[in-house]
Amino acid sequence: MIIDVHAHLWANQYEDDKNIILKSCELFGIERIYISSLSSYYPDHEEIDYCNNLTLGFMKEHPKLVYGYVYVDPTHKNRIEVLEKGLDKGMSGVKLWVAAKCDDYRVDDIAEKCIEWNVPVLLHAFYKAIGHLEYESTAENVRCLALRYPKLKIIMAHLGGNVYHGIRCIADIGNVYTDFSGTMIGTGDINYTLGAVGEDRILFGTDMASGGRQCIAQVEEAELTQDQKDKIYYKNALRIFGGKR
Amino acid sequence: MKTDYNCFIGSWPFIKRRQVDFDGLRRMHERHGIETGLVSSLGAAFYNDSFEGDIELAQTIKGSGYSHAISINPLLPNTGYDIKRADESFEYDAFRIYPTVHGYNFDSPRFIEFFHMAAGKNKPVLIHCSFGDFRLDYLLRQKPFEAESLKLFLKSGHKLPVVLCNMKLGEMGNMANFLKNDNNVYVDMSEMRHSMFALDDISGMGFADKVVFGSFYPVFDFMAAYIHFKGEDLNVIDGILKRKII
Repeated sequence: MIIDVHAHLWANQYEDDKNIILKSCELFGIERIYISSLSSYYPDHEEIDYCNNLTLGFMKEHPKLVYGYVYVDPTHKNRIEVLEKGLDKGMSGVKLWVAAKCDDYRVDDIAEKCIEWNVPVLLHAFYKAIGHLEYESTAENVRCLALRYPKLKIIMAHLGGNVYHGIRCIADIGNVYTDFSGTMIGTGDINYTLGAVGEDRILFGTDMASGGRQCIAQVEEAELTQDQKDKIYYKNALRIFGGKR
Repeated sequence: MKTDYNCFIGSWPFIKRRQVDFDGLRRMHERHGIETGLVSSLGAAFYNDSFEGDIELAQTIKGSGYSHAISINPLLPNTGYDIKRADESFEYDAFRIYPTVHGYNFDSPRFIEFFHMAAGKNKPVLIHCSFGDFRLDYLLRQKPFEAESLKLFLKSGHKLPVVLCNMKLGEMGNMANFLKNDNNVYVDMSEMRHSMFALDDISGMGFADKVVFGSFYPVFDFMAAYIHFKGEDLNVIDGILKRKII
């Protein structure tokens, strides 16, 4: 079984993305996938609604396969209303992207609500040598938030972008999990992460529909026992999101 | 022969990589049914004198059935000296260049001079359009790849086979006309990570017959390229793996 905890519909191409995701899930045996829908870096209220409705629509079309994150912009005053509306409608977690750093004070009430609802928050985090966005979180921001909220279930996306920067920030913080979704394909990245955080805190994600095969390739190429592989592919996700195989 | 056109041995200077020796590469190839490779030395790519890495690689792969692509930095004075030393010292089958690492465009007189030398030897040139993930290597700032400058150069009537290694799918789209119409320009598979169905995308762009297999192992996961064969027709896979450039 494979559970993908990190995938997207992009608002400007969502029908194509759905097709790619469905075809990929069938080809690679992905039985559950957690989606958030995204568009511009700094969305307005309408865009947030539009994106969340895309996710809800996809969940409705494929209820056994597709699960959703409610996408929240921390800079919006109605952020908690948006969050609760999404969770009320059956979404399983919260997604924060690049509109504000994840340790911004406006994330505090989001974190508290996630703890109250017992849902994880998926945080984009990427340390880039070039092209870093103004409010794009790095693993250092993730660390700050995690230390403030030790009961918050955090998924730090993309191994923090650069595994050698990202993992050192979360290695000693037990409430932070990490996924290796995205386009980093360095040999040994999974084993390096495993050595630092152990197999119970690594989650499988692809970042579909923009690529993702390499994420399966990384698990298959890593030096892992079957038990470690199972945890990474699905058991850890079941533990965090709930549900049975 | 099923060939990997983009493989290396040696250490990546910034990050510890595993199985960086020739045995590691061969084991990985054997596991996936790859019969040979056009291999280069990571040392040669980064050393001030690339020959020091290449002579070492030549000794390592001698008699193995693997081919050797020597590394050239055309900005160094007297590139002909590198080629002459290689000619006199060992067998090799191609040239490999790293414009984003060594820092030049394709209109550089030094590059053009080198390319004429390569043509004189009638050996293919493998051009690395990036070298590693430039977002992540903050100790190595690569010069951005200049597609327009490469296009202008390719228009100038080169005769040698050229393999564009580590070219991203979006950049391939930008080069589609050359890849479709220039019989001597090929791309490798090492950077197909931005699409779930990259080989379909390439077929749609009309140059599926110009794709060769290249993994960029051991810097990148070998499987990251190889996994794009999953679900593909065996004829397509064989076509790519057995495409012959050298």
